[in-house]
Amino acid sequence: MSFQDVSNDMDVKRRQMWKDVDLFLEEFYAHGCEAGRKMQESEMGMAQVRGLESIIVSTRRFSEVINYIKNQSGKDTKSVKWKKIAGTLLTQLETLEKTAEELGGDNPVIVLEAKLKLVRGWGKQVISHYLFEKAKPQIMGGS
Amino acid sequence: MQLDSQIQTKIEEHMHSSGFFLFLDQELRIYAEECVLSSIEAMENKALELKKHKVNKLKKSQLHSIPAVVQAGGMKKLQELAIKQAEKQSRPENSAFWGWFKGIIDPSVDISDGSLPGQIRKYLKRAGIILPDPDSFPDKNSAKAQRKANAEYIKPALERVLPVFCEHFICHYNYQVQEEK
Repeated sequence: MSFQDVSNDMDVKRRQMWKDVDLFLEEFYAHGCEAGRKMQESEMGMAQVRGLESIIVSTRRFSEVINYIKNQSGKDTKSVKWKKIAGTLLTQLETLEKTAEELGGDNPVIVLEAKLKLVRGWGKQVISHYLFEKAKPQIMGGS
Repeated sequence: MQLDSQIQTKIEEHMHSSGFFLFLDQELRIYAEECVLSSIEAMENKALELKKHKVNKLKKSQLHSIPAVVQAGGMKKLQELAIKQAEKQSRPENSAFWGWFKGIIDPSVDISDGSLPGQIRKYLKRAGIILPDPDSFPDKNSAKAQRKANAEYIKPALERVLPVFCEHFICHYNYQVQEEK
């Protein structure tokens, strides 16, 4: 197989993965929203949510997001809020990781890219829904 | 013993591969999670040994120095820290933990797959880089030399893996101990 063939094959796999990730995220939307709602219910502050968001957006390693959540949950101060939500977030991240493995198969490049694409899409779902839940009383109350 | 430059180059090249990044991200994390459980077990065993009914867990503050030490001096300094802490006449859970930790990161251990260097060797083997088995040598001196050579081969990979392993370990320990409060 020539270099060109390998490159084309990779492009095909990558494009397929993008589609599969989008489809998966559509199906996973309700779970992402549930996590966002729970974050709001646990009265997590905006600064903490933005902290999570910036890790999700900037990281090059999926496990940094997992480690951030674990660390926040384990901190002595402010731990109650994270502790309430950490289990849900970590379980959902585990599902994303398994999905990436299924999509990428034995191709580590695709697996890594799928993980990052999934976590960023998921992050948008969770944080958007958190913001929506937070603003709900104002929206429902009207002005 | 003269190091085989082909093996060295292969390992160096492999450290930039996606497979290695995936190993750091996933396999190493799962291994670190298992390590947290076995460190807790080591502390429980120590309490049993001392016939104590209550098992005290290591205070999280004991782990605070690890990232800075790794960043400043890599494996060498981390080993020094672990040895120093293990020898201190402090709380039993502290010495149990540091004694266990010292064993898990020891680069000279060649056989134990439970150690961090063992994980790297296992990964390299899967990637097609097989290091010579010291036990296959008939005399003790050659086996010892090969063991030393193997430690040298994996040294660059170990230095690369170490900060990520420590991150996984500390974060999971923080989470796990919090969970058990």
